[in-house]
Amino acid sequence: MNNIQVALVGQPNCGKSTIFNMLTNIKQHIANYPGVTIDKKSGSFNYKESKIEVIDLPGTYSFSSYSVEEKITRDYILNKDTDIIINTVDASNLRRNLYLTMQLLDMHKPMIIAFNMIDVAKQNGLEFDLKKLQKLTNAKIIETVASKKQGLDEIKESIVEVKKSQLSHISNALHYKELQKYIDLIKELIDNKSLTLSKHYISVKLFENDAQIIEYLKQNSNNAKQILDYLEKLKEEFKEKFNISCEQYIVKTRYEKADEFLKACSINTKKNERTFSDKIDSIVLNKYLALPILASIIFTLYQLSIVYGYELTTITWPILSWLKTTVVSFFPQENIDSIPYITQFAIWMMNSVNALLNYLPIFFILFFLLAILEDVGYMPRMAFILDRLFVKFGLHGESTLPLVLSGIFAGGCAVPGVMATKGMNDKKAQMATMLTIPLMNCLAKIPFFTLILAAFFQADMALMMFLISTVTIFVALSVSKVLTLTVLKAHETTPFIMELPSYHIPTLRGIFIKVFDKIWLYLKKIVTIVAAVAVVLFVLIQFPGISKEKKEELDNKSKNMQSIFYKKIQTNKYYSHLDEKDELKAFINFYNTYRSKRMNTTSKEKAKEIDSKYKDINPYFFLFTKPKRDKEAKKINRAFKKLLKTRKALFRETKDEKVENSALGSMGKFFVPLTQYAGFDWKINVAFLSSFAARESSVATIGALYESNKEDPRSSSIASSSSYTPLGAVAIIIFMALTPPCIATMIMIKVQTNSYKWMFFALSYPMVLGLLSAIFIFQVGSFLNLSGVEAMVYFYIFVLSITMLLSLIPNYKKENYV
Amino acid sequence: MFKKILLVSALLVSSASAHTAVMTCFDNGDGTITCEGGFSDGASGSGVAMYIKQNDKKVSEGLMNEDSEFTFTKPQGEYNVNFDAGKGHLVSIKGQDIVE
Repeated sequence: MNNIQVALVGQPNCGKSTIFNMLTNIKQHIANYPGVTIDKKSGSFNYKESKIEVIDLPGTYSFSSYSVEEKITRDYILNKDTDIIINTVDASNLRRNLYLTMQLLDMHKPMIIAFNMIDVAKQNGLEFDLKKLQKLTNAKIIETVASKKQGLDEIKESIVEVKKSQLSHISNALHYKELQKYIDLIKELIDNKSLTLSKHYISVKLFENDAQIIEYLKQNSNNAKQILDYLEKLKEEFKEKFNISCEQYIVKTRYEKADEFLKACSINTKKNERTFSDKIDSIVLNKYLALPILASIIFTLYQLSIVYGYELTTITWPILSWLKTTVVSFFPQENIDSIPYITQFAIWMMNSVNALLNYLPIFFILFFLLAILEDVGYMPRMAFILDRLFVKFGLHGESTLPLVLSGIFAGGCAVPGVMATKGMNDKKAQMATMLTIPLMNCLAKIPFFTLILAAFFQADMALMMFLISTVTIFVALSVSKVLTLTVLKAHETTPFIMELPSYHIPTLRGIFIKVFDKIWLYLKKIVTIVAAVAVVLFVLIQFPGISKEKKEELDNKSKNMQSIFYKKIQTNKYYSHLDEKDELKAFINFYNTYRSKRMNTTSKEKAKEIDSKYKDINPYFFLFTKPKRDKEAKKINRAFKKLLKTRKALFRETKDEKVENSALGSMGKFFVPLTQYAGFDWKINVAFLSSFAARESSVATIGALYESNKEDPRSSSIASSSSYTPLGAVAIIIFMALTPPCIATMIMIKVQTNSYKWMFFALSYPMVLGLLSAIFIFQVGSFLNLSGVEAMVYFYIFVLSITMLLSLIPNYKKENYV
Repeated sequence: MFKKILLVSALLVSSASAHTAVMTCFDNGDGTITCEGGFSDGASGSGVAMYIKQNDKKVSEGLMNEDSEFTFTKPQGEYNVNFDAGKGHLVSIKGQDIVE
């Protein structure tokens, strides 16, 4: 058995991944490249005495800007262990695909060209003289239709063959016309003994000013300084003579060469007929129809994944709920007056993990639809349509989908939104999109807005809801613009490629592979990161815990509660079954588990089954739980329910006290001097903080803080029991609308950027922005004596004007040669 | 460092994650029904509006109490219980699915 290492290269949408699936037949292994969050897919198969290992490198348009993907791809190809490159080109889009091929030729490696989508190309009336192309490139060329498994055996065969005749298959390097003389001069100087890369490649890259290669030369060559000095001289000379910089000349030559190759090998038989893709594009990209079509596709995607996916969660949730109950049941039982730490911890961890697992149905649908759009070839078109608008704000056409999913016109969800940025090629826009996503309208904020709006703006609810949900979009655009001009300045941008791939029918298998890959990866990452974050938060809330005095007070209340209960049932004929502390504890746990089991049953048979099971466990406890007509048991039931209610209240009090005392609570108070300018008292601060950490929805926290009174309809209770005015409510709403939605999003940003620094930034700037906006509204509103609705409208106009102004500022651009 | 980051980031954030509204009901066997509500991430449903409907008409309403529970007298005939936390967060359970 000999080993052959093969690297799969190609531009996005050329069918590279399909070729990969076809070769490895699902036997794939996905890992991460060290230190970055790009998936590394590899797989292997045996063929004729050889074990062939294939690495599917990230798709890249060229090697001109140094995104992480490109760096990885380059390193892999140049690695001396990589025996063969398989360069996948889309035959129906040859011109664009050839540009990458030109760059690969410089690398001087044995190359096989998988001439893919040959069926689409033929349909479009293109025919090729592949013999000519083979001669020009000295690469082995195989016609493939990956989606139909055509050309599979030929590829395998040629891998073995090329490996055998290694030397004769080194690809032909490009000849750089006028510059070639200069390249050769440098080549002669390079001492090749200790170098793993070809002299030609090093030399070309030096003329391209490639930092990586310059570094490489310094490390591995004795006369680096001499070479670099000479290089500078030659470059000057060339520029003077030809009036073009070497870098630009190299790029220009590659394009010319690509065109030459294309001319030499293609025979277009239906030159003047429009291709199938052109016909579709004439509708999809039509001046008037493009936007409506795009909007309806996006709306469908949103509706199916977020809305229906969300509805699916009501079906899948019981499974997660069961999972939690099962896991928690392995931990020590609850005591009468407390829940053991370890059990609390288990509940906390399960809640954290479940909160994220709950997204799986949404993700499944979303990934499925995205894979279809990607494979069909619509994605680049979508980006193309919206690019002009987004570019003004430092975003990219590809930002459309993530932003929509996060809630551009209705409640979305930031978690899939952040996930959807994964495929973006433009790093700067990707970061800008990811960082503005938390400003979008998350579905989870809706209950909160509903509560506040019902309390203060009963009459203008619809108008206010509209203003809230659209103002955030303008804020997001403005923020994105500011970020790209400042903190993201140094990030890579990729040129927007105007050429669009042909449409093709996706294969179901390919799509499913994609979906499961992504889901699996999500699960793996989520579980590990959630665990880490949840543990830290747990500690932050649990410690330092409650004060001694408070603890004594609560213990007394608990003792008191128990003695009241015993007093009530002293004369009861069943007293002996509950007169021990342990029996009471056992009954509490019995009652709670029975209730939680029964809560989720809707069928009579199932209910009967549970009943008889619990009757067997303890017939008396069961009787107290369901006393039916037994008067004595009814008394116990009533007294017991009172005890439970008190117990819950005590637990709540303990928890609130704990939160208030915890690191988080102290911070809430700490910030009062600042937040008072926005009209927030410490209670609201603590509510904001604990709602994030203790997973208590703000609805509940705010409700609890102002003790909504049961007889009142809830709307007026908040309004009347607090000192808040509608203006103060607007400040709270704006703060809420601009602050990041949840831990899950935070974790996703960490997963995508692989950096706690960015995660922290993504969380802290909205906080600052939200607070400043709230202060601004509250102060200006108070000064001008504005009503809540007026303040909201004026704020809206203010944000809108800023957005307009920002769109006029030109973007900072790094020099790009492509 | 990590701890510090979390400490501060915990400061910032409000409201729970995109959570599914959840409600389950239990027939107490004494002519009353207790429903517990909340959200899938463990968030409490206290303060959320509850109402009982018969033939599309509200016959009674109230709020989830601080224990995130709502107890009501079982009406005659068909009815449904609704936990309404705003758009996209409505759970409705039919009376016939609440078995004794």
